[in-house]
Amino acid sequence: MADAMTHSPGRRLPLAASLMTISIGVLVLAGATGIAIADTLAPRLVNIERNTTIALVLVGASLLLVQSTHDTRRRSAGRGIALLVAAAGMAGFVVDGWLAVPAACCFLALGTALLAVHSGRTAVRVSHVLVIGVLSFSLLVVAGSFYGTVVHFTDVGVHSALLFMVSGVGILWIRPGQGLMGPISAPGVGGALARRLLPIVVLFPFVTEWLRSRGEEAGLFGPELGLAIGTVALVSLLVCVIWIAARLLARGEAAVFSSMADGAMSLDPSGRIVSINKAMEALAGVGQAQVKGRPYFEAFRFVDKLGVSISSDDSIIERAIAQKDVVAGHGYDVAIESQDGRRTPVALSAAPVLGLEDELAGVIAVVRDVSIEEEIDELKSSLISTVSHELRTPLTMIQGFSELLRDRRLDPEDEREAIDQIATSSERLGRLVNDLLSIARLDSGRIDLHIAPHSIAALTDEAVDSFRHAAAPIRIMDLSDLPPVLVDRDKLIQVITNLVSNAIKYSPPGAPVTISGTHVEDYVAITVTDQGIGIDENEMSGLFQKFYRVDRDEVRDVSGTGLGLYIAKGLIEAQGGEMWVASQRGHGSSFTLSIPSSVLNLAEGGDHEKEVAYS
Amino acid sequence: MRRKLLIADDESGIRRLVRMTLAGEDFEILEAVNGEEALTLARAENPHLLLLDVKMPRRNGLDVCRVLKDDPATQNIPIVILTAQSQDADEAAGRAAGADFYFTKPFSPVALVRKVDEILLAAS
Repeated sequence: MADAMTHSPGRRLPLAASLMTISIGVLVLAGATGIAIADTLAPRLVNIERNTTIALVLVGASLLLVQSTHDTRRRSAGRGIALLVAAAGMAGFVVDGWLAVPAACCFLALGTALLAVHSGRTAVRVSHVLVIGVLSFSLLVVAGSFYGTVVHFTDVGVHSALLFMVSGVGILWIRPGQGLMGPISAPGVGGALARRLLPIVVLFPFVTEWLRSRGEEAGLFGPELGLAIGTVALVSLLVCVIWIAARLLARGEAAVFSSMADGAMSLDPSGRIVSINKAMEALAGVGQAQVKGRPYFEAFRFVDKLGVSISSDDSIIERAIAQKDVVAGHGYDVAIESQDGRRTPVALSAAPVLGLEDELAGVIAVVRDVSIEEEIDELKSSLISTVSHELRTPLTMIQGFSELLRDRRLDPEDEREAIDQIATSSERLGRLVNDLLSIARLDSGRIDLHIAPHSIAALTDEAVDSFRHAAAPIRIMDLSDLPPVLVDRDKLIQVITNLVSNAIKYSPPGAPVTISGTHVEDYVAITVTDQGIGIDENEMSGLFQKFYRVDRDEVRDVSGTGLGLYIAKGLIEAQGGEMWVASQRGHGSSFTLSIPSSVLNLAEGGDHEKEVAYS
Repeated sequence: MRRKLLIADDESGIRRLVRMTLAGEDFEILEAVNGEEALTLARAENPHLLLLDVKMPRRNGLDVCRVLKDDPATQNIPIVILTAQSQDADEAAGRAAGADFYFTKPFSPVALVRKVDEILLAAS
């Protein structure tokens, strides 16, 4: 609500109204007490009774305080003063000569309105009704004065009436988004319409009536003709108001319709096209002019999953017309076929447009392109299927070999193999679960990184240490001259371990693996090179994707989940780095990771010392 | 005469499991590591039963199954699909390809032996 107030038009009105009421009131009071300047400025020009002036100053002060949106103490003070205003109004009824009864009524109403303006929805409404009562009464006084007469029964002067109006408008605008002010301050077409037309409707009769009376006085026309002119002016005003309203509403509708990202069509009650928006033109591959006036089921071809045309009888639009109610499809089983035969899966929904007597005036149908949703759905199914496959394979071995161990008398060699198979499969399952969790964290961007400066040589040594029993010799080039890198230590070790493990797995037994490093500008690059099977050009694109495994006889029995490189690349990118590969089938591969270097000196203490000691 | 059983699976552990499971039975067990090899061996050896994985390199199991069932020379080989994909659509695809039975991983070796015996008995 505070938002609605902050951004609504005329949000400074309450402040301006309160300051104006207080200033004039204070000037009048000061003038009445003999202050010369004030006397010149106010009492000679502004004629308000002393008690009325005091009560008006209180109204202004209360309005100034209660308009605060955040400061509850100011608001409470404002409410206290509002109570005084209402009490002043009440006093007008009981204390003879204190206030004229009509003025007392106005103060009672304004005081109550100021008290209620920050209460519940109904109270705000009541507050607005009271203020509108005061405004109508004051307008009568002002109108009377405008036409050169005094409305005696009101007993309220025109200056008081004007200040009642100013403070009344201020109260209405304290919470413009609520109560009777809601439609006027609304940001949409309705609000714009009301704000544009209200001043015209209020001022126009005053001007025309004033002109009429001046015309009569000048002898330009008699009272009868004057009345006729006034009537014509009023009719003209109403016609103009209706025309402006219709134009603004039509513009608003058209703006909503054309700006919709989804395809939309406006139909008449018989299902003929009145208009379609740009998105619909793109979906169907036709222009508005080609389809206007035609039945929608002739102009557009909707097909089911098998490509068979959906008959108009089964259409959501027909159901919306028949039921005079909103009907929405769930998508995935309807497609729209464009003129050039392109099919786009869509979700259809249709809403009837009802006239004043609930008769069907038309239908708005929305045709939403669900290609991306469908693609995501397919990806999800494919991922579930792959994960299920990857989980079931090691599970089969665990279940199968353990049943054999339990139910069969295996010879010692088979028994040993069965146990090994169970152990290997359990490890594989564990790895898979860890990888899946890493992927979930990477994909959702919730990965926990503890970035700090580290010696790349130390981290590489630590990663390679786990391969000390591997058959392949691992050569680490001199990395000690490289600057420290800004990384999460464990994550970088995980990535280097993965690259070295892959290098060993996809190389002939005993083939060396080399780790080298270089420093380019603010980045440190580490390259793991093997002399293994290499990567074919057509395998490159899938290499860093989930569950990708090279499909070749020579790697048939290489274990892996197909997730390692996807995770490694994700981890490096999450740390502000990049990863790439250079390879040729049969000639080995070089995987390079590049990570930001740190300008900090490692010898500066804390964690750094540990790393220095390590390197 | 020893009966021939062809197991086609790219996972060596699964092939080993099947071999160990059927060790007590009177089978000559043949192994294929991909779809192409499964087709070649099935045509050349005309096994009494084919245990066929679905997700295999070169040619997937459903494809192999369809080809064998369309070929009069091999269409009588009973085929058991062994798969780690257990969604209804996958099973329907297996049946549509002409498979005689559908076994979902993980499976019990005892149940597999029973099923193999049952199929071979029916075939004989």
